[in-house]
Amino acid sequence: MALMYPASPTWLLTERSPGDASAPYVADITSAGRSLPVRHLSSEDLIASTRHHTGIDLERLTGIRERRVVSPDDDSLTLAVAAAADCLERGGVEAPELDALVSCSITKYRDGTTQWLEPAMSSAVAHRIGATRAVTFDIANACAGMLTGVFVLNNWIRRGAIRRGLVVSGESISGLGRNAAHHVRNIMSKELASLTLGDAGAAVVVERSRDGSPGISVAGFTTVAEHSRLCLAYPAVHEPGARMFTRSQALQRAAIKDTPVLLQEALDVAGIDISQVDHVIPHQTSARAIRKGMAHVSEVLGAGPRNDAVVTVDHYGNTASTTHTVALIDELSGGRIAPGDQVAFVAIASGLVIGVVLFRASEGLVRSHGDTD
Amino acid sequence: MATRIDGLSLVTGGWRSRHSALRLSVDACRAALGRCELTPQDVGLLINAGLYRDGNLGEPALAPLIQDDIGANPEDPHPGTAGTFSFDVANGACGLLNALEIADGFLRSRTVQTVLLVASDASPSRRLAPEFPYLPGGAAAVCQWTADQVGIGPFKWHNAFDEGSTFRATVGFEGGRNVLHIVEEADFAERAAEAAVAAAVELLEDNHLAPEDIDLIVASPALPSFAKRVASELAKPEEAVVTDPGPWHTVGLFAALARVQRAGRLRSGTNALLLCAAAGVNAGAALYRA
Repeated sequence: MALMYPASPTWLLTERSPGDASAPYVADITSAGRSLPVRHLSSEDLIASTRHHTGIDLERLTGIRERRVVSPDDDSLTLAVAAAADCLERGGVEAPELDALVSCSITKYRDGTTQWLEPAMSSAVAHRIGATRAVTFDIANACAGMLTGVFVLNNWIRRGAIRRGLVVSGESISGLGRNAAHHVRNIMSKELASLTLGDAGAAVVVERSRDGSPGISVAGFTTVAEHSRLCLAYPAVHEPGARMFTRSQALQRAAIKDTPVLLQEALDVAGIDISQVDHVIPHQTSARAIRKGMAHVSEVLGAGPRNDAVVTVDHYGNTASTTHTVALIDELSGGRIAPGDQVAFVAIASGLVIGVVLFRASEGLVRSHGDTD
Repeated sequence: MATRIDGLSLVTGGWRSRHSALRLSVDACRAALGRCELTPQDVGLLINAGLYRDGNLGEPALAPLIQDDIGANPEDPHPGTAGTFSFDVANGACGLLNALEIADGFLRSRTVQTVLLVASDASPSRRLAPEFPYLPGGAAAVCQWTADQVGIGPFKWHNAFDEGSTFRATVGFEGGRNVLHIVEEADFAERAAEAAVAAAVELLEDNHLAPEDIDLIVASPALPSFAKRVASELAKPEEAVVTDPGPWHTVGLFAALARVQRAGRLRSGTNALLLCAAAGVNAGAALYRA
């Protein structure tokens, strides 16, 4: 029997909905939740804590005014659990209704800076929220982790293997900034990017589309692995927690170069152009990088999205794998996303992972964060 | 039609690779692709399920480094052809079964033609992991969709939550440095077997099968009391439950599968059950028809 594959391959590993008989359903993002620590840390205060006189104006350089940082009682797991609970409550979903729960954080800290490699964090989150039936496993894909989780559950839902799953992450990652503050000497430091990090938990429910909601139309990802060594993070040798070493300019150059062609590919699969996209939610590294990247996208694609790319990095910092969901909720709660709006999540992460998830905001998703009238 | 597992390859650590999960993964991937007469450019999706790695690397996932080192479309995108996507799955000794289920999904939907699965574990160093209990090793296999009536699936999972009270692995700061500790309590094997049996029974019931319909159980972890309890609860002779003593960790499931292949016990038509249990306690089962 002949096996049917798309006639024109795409560089992105891509799924389009609805598919053929092998994947007849459509997946939808029906709820989003987050947990933000109450403590604020300004860039001014973070730079003031550096051991060396760096002369860096971090806010001017990155556009980051402040980020949230965990209190001693919180960690990756508590952030993830709180975000999961918020997401389920907003979506009116009971935890035992979840068929799958995928945890996707980079940090898996519990009780301070002890990184738990086993059990999987998904198992602990499932236990604490009562997702007794859920298949649980963790995905690690740097800052693209949550969207990789959405990519996997999108596939399972499209095929009818499951009806509903939760993708969750808890990033207690600001400690890398504290460590970097001991080592950064000037603007050329490979640990400069660590100073942009902030803490957050985030979760989304992905489920089979109801009432004809268009849901996720295209999800596509690739890894440009020749750039895989441009950002590396390890447990610190002589300090608690971890340290991250980034060749930021090289990473940014590669991302800016490769993103337009891949975004165009995803749009082509969806049969739309960039001017039909209402909201682009990119990974949040720095306001300057986002604006520079989107300017290049508009230049290469010949047009831009209907609204400026969403920027939340100015007040949350880079919250790693949670940035897209944290930003989505800002847009929802600010009333800037209406039911039916076309949203493009754009993942850019160490690896170098680039991915696009195109979906239309459902009425339920919009209503769960405010009034739709 | 189902997902076939081909080119299964198992490598052990030599003096150059015993502290490098990356090298072990790369060696296993190259061997698996070679056995299938495939090139790295044929790989559309690469999933790594290994946990213990060089320097306890936290970011990026190990999979992109493996992808780069084997040369699976690592370059900037170019139109008209397909690239490679790679990421890690983490679920201890069950990670490869999770990866198989994910691979099966993308193959069933014809999203991808070739998936490369790999796992490896190696002590990052004596200093960073003074009591690392596993043999350095790597395993890889190629998954492709086939029109034949062979292959893997369906899958079933069972949770018996304990949040690590019977098995946990942590990297924490002590004595002036971050150290990896892996703690397996005495009752882990029993708890793991209970969860694995529950997953197996649910899988068999869902598919209207009985234990006597299963010829072989390919299992991980390779704890003697785990295998014995699984055999007893499923009313199978002990020799029907095959593990590979290693001691392996994330590699264990493929090591056991390689062992039954080497022994010629995975003949055409054999109905096998892939069965594993991980910290959590989380257990998974899948049917596999050779």
